[in-house]
Amino acid sequence: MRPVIQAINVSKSFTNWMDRPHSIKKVLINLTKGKLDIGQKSRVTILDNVSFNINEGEFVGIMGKNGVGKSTLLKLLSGIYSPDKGMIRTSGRIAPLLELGAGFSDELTGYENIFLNAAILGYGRARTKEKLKQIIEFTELGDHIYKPIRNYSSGMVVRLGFSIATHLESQILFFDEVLSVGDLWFQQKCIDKIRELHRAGRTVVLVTHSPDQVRNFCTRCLVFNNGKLGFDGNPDEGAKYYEGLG
Amino acid sequence: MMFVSNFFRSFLCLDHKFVVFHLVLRNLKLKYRRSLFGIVWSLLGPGLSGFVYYFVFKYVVKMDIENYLVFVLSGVLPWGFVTNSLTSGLETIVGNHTLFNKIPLRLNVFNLSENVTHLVNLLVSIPVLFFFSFVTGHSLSINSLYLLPILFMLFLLTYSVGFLLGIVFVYFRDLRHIMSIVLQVLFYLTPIVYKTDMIPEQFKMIVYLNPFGVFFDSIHQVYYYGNALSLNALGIMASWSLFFVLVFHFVSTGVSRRIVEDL
Repeated sequence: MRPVIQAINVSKSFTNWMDRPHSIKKVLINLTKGKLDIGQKSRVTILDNVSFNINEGEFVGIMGKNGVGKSTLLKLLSGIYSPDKGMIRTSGRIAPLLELGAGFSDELTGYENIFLNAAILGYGRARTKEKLKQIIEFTELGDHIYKPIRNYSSGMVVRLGFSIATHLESQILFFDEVLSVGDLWFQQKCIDKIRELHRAGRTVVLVTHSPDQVRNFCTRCLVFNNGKLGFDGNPDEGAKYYEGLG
Repeated sequence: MMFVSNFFRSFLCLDHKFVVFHLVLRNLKLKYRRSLFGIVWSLLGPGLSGFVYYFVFKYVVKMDIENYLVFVLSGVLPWGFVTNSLTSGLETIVGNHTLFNKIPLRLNVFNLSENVTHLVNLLVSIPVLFFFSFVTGHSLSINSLYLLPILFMLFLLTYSVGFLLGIVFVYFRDLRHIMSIVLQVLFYLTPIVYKTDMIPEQFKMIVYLNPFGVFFDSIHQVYYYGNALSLNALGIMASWSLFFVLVFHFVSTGVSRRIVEDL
């Protein structure tokens, strides 16, 4: 088993600013009164000395109460945030699906957005073209694919976003509660697709609040609690641990 | 060597070259989708202001500059590029904050795409300048080719300054109002609608203290007068753009990733 994600003693905190001036005018007025007031700050620790490895081909469910740092963790692993302490190593291309349809351009057609979105995920025109047919087929959008995205329903946007990210060749996929959008049938289709990717050897990390999803699909479960990794192991026990957090 | 390769990676967003390509393509597509109309639209703004300055300074103020229309258009078109680039530089980081929070992108990727788009639009507008030069009987000199290096350095300057403005804008949201005033002031402190020679000797410094001063003087020198570009002017322009490019580089490698958390 080869680790594709390594988090080593990772800590992350955010600065909360109180009364920070947001205009140059205000700073200047404060200066004329002879004081440099940049507001009060306080640190809020989200993750505290967290370490774990994720191996190639694992299907990891991440659970925890709201605000415990699940999304922050995915952002750290994707490279959107950098850790205060510790380090994160990843190998292989990551498709972070933190929000489906992030990066779409309203005025462009669905077809044009496929290329733009694939580019954001790091794929050039030629490599996107190879997958184009599969991407479009999966969305079930039919001729709507040639219409501007601004005319799409939110469900259609989600279908397109999901389809693009999962049909490209990214080795590691992150899903942040994206399965709760779309209708029942498309949700099922998405879950089937994710499981298919897992069977094909991709590494999947899924943030979810559903113990059933963890029990049914995941090979491993991480539960976060108070900034620490509270549980790491078997999905059944992980789901139970999560339910017991109360 | 390491520094040079890191510099080009971050300055030109090489990690996101596909994104830049598609964003520029999108911008141009949206602008020119209605074909001819898009082009007319993008020329109308600077073209119209060119004609207004022409009327005001030639017939009201009665400025004594021969073939003033060509003089003023050759200044106003690049100035339009400067204001567009700086304005979109200011907006691009804050305007795309949701994306920066969802996808690991370099902070300058949208700024670069917008600036390339503005540069393409400027190059598209140059034939219009040729047209009016031709109509008014202004002879084109081979020295006009010096416009290319001048515009290239101008691009480096506005791209870097725009990025820095975008970072400051994250913290100070009134920068937008301050900038529109500063741009207005800069317009009149830059030799765009008047010649550098017309400035009284004791005030000539403003051309050199203003980063854009020598650029617009040089544009007039090579296009309107047909003179060769002086080494002196080249040195000053290169220094201004290099200075801001370096500031850009140190800011973007130093602080910029943290800014996503403040957005």
